[in-house]
Amino acid sequence: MKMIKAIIRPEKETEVIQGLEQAGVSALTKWDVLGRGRQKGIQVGAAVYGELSKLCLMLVVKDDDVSKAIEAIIHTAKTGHPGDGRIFVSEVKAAYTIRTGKPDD
Amino acid sequence: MIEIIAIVRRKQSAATKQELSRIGCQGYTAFPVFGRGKQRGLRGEPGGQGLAFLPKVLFDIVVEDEQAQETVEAMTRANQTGQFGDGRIFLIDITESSRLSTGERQRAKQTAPACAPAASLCETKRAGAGREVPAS
Repeated sequence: MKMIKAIIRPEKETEVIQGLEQAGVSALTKWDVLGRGRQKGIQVGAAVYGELSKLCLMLVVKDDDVSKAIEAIIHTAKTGHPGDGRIFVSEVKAAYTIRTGKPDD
Repeated sequence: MIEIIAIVRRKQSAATKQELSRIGCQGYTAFPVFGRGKQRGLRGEPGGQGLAFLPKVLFDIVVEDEQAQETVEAMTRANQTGQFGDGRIFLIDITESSRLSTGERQRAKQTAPACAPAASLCETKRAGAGREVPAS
């Protein structure tokens, strides 16, 4: 099982979630974050924004579904401009459903 | 070291904190999130709007390998109602941690026994899931 964390533009939220749903991944957790990347924020005239508001999506999927989920996120979140976000994937050692108290496969 | 990410009901957040301090786990990070699982949120009445994402609390706890099982059990005890929406717990390996106040650094133990409790927890015998650990 793998955990996918995606930092995306907040305005792309609905689109990305719909894309993931179509790809068969509907379980996810989201929260608002502030962040910056390689560009170190943006400068608009004299105003410098060090951190930009982003949305963090966290989903845990089976190993076989990872590329499907990543493709769905990239396809829907991409605008081609800097600031589209990043996707990180990490290994999940174990996953439990609290309702049953049992580990999943 | 193992990072335990638990997504639980907001109502159970106080009970969870109590249970965590009871087993001696003082340090954790918690923040409000929105999420949904297998049920895809609340569907509501047919024709109704329902609720696509439900408010939850995300607990992020980093513990030594030996405490992982105890912590998972405590989280389950505090949050299990038997209804859908109780939440999920994920275990992730942490390779290194440092304490900012003292600059002290801690690496994960490389010996096999350090990994045993979590491996016996997970019970699934996935191929290529990192180190080979004999199931105890």
